[in-house]
Amino acid sequence: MSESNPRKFKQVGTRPIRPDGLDKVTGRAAFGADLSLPGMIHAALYRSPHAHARIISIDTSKAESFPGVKAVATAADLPDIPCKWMGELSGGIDYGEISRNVLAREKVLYHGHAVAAVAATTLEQAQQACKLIVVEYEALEPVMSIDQALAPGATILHEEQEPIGVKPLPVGPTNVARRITMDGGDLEAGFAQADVIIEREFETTMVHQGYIEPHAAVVSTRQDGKSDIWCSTQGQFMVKSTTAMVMACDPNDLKVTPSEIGGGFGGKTTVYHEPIGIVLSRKSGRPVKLVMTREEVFRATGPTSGAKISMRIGAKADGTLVAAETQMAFEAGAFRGSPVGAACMCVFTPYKISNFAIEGLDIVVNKPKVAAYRAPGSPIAAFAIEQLMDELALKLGRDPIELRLQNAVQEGDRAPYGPTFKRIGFRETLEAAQRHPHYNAPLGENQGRGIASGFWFNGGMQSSATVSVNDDGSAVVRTGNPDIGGSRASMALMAAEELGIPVERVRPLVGDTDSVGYCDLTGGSRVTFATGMAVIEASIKVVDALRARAATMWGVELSDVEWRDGSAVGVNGAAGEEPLPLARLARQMRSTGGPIVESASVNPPAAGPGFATHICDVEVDPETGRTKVLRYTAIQDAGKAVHPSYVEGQFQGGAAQGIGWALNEEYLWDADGKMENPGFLDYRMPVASDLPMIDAVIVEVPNPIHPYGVRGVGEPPIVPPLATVANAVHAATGIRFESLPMTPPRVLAAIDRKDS
Amino acid sequence: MAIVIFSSAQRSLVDGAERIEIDAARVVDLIAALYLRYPQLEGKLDDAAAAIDGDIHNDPKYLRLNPESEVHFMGAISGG
Repeated sequence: MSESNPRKFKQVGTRPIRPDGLDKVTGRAAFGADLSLPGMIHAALYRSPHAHARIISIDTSKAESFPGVKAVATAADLPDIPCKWMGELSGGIDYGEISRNVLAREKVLYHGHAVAAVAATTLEQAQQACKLIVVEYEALEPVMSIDQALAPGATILHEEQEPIGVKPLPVGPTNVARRITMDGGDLEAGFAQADVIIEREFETTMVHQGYIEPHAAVVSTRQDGKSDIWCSTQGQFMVKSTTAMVMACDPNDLKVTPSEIGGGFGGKTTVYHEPIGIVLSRKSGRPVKLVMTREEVFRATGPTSGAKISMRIGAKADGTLVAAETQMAFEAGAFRGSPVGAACMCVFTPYKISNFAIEGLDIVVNKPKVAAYRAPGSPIAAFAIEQLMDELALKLGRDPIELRLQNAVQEGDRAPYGPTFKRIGFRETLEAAQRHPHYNAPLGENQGRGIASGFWFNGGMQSSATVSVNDDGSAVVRTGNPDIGGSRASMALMAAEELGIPVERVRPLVGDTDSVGYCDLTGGSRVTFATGMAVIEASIKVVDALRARAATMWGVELSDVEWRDGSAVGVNGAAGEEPLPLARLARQMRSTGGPIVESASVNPPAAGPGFATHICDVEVDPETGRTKVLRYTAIQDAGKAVHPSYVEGQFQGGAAQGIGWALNEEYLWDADGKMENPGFLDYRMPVASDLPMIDAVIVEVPNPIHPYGVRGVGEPPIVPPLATVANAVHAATGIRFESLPMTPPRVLAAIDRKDS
Repeated sequence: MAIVIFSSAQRSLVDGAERIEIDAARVVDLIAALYLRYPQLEGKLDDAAAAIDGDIHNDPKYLRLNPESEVHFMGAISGG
């Protein structure tokens, strides 16, 4: 969209009540565990008591004969998909490893790794029968940290696996799954120009997305081998294709219906239950329900990586960055595929740095396989670089926003990962932070203020939409993306904008895999951008069809009809005709050609880079080490906010998750590799009473590749908070925290060390 | 001539080249020409994403290139 001649919107930018809101606040909405079918039975999983062990044998005979048991499944019931990384330079996926994560085959690789499943008439019977499964193990030493994984003579998780990536690679058995490098300019020459060099090492721990709704699925396999799957997922088409790969079956045999989803944040972008459900339903002839407990969610579903980062940056005395170098090692969990690649691409992207070197290592450890988590990898990288930027500003006696503005990328600058930026809004977020009253508000004793920025690409990918006109003049929009963040409302607004009717006259629906055109999953901050583009295109086709119907009724050419504010208006040869509103045209559909139903599909490029800048005030209690967040402001370039309330909600949610990551959240492991805090009482996420109202400031720098200027917004707001809070704690205490989380005991210990 | 810029990860497969020019109408033609020139690259770009003139495409194979298009092959962008 043109920045100099912005479109005047009538619907987009308003704040209607979300169409799914009433059902969600009254408990009527059906989530993954809510579906029940006639004859349905219930499944429970037997999970590994070891963090690392070879499976010698599995005896399920006693479980099979337990009262009520209808079926038992182990990896022997799944096709033995060989482990093979698909794509070396292009990201990748390994269906053999996904299969082995669904049900362990040769080894168990983390405590809680699923080994077998039992389906019985009642859940209690299934749980009792699980206890009768006998597995003989050869226990192995668990590898629970990056240091342990890389130590000489370390126990190896995957003895046969060769590392991939950029040479030099480790020789012989290794826990390094992948090595990535990126560089530019002349690093040594860059540092030689530097008047100030800052160098630190950082460490973050594994954290979970913490979605409220546990994973759940119901699977019903018929006699003809075809299966219906209902599940809580971020992508019904992803479930269909991934399950088909794991089951080595025809995708056409699977129909997947997404339930309402109680959060995902990237954690519901793979499969856990669905292949097991097919095996159990096929064996029992019954529909099977599988629902995880919260403990199972923590023990066996993907968190994001813990990481170790070493980093140094160099700048001239005037603040100009001249060199930066980092090595980032990320835990992948039990199977390769951490987000270290994305971290490498994001880490230095906000700043113009001519000379840089980046190395990323993907390391396997005996913890749950990581899954995507909101801007995967970028918050961890920003925790490091944004603290060094804060330290650099202090050393140079510069305002931290001014220093960032001096070095900020803008249109025409080249990103470290290659491409040249088009119009981006990073500087605008920094300037908005500078102008915000929060930035200069007074602070009290033991209080400090931090700022930090962050970047995320935002995805594009494939989407489809169908828009149909009802004979009462209302419309239906069908898409294939589960609604996590208010996307139904956004789809309705965009259709209403093009059709020129009130948004309340548009009903947005999310369809199953047989009912709607293909959509890539809900993730990567892509749905309002890409699926929205499909909705806009389909709606424009509907408008063209309505114009044609008006031309038919008036007996004129199509070019004699324009569409204005929801009505066909005669021009040229039809000038003087009384305008025909959509409702009147809809009533005449039968006699002017039949129903109007139009579809569009798109595969646009990535959604336009997203930048955010956050401000945080904290107060640190020197007696207890407790950090209280007093005030928080999240500023981000949204391109164009289609529904501002849900854009603000994304900013606030991302900030809240990042604050929890910074201050409290961590997996605690015992000496045997068992998670000690698999519940929300002990895994401390922030609740409403922990946080102030987060002020969300929407900056709108239109994205040139979207008709309305929309950028993705869901992921950038979790990138700055880790460093924003750390910078604020430093300002309050004078202590630079290099490790997360900054829990009260750790902060208190650091204060005591400083005082002594 | 399209300009291809290689990352450090890719340079070991293209005799250390940082930037080359190739006459190609579409990305698929560009990839074929690269495989011909650098056999060790064979197969590694089949499913790669590409940034073309600043826009990142996860599925670029049949996109048309302008005579002066700048192309970076890279990992696909996804997210959470």
